[in-house]
Amino acid sequence: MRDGEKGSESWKGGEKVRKTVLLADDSNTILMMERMLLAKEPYDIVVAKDGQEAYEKALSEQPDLILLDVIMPKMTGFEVCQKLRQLAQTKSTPILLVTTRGEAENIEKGYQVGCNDYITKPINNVEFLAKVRDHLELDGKGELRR
Amino acid sequence: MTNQKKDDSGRHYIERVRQDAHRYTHELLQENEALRGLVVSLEAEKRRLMEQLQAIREETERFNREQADLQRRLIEIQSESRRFAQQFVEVERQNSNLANLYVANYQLHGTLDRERVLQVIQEILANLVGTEETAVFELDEAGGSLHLISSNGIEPHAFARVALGEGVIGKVAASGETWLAGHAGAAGGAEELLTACVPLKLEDRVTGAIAIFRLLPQKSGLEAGDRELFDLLATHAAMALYCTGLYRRVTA
Repeated sequence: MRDGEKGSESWKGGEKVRKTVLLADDSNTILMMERMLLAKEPYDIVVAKDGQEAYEKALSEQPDLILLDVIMPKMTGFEVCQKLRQLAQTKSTPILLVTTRGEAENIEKGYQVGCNDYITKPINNVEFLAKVRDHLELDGKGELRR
Repeated sequence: MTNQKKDDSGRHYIERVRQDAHRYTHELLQENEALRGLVVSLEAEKRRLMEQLQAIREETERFNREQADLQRRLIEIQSESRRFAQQFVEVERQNSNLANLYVANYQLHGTLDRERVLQVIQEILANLVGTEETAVFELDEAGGSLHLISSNGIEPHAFARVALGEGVIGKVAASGETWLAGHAGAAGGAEELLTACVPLKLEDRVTGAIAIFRLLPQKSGLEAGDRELFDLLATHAAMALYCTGLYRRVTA
């Protein structure tokens, strides 16, 4: 029985309703920006400030979506993504890489290590929210898709 | 045959013809009456059909008017919808700019550590504007030249010191006016790749400058929101750096 496991609002009839998003970036500026963008959305936010912390929180918090900066201390976003893809519990969790490096080879490497999508900085708010919603399988109103 | 017999035969014949003619006339009259009735009913049917046709014409005209009205309203709604979509995009752009300004301001004034403020300036430039190469200068206490205090992606030695009034960066520090490539003259030499130069100002006093060279490959050019961010950086980055100096002196 999972009801109440993370608060009654997060679980309904054994199914999770309120989604959790893990934001991993070593830049406070970007973390604050991402939190601001997601503040009006019905998501629980978990934050990590380096690659190792991102990896650990991905396992402990079991987020529904992970936003990973590529260049981070301790472990790069590529490495975190690759490691998470090897574990059963995070194998299919959507992972979006968020980076200043928008060159084709970086994007290709991201897909090779198993990311689902790529967001380049500076973040375009509309694109950012659309990709987050899309990968969380929510419609534009934040309702669960049937 | 006697004449009497001939007369009788003629009378009979005439009588038969008369009776035939009478019967035929009667039949014709009956038929005529039936046809008249048919004409009357056909005319009534024709009137009814004409009335129906007229009603259909009126209905068609009404539908045509309604269709034209609906088309006009559809065009109005489509136009309004486009206007709302444009407004939505504009509101989203303004929201984005405001969010950038808020985050930049919050981060700049969230610390009294000089290194952290310089790091925040670089983070703002890289993450919110989309720069790849930047340099932050501070004016010497004597006020004669700018010296490099932070850089990203450039060769620091080439910009270690810039004389006030020299080149675009020196002129920006001397005039206190922001410089944008393509708007006011061209930069040359080491400043060839300069995209923008923003003075750091405390009220009207210039305390330094931020030079932006190359932008990230995915950033096609500076936008209106970037210029608003430059205006904010011009005063708030200068203020944040000034506060770190005050704090250092107070705590020394």
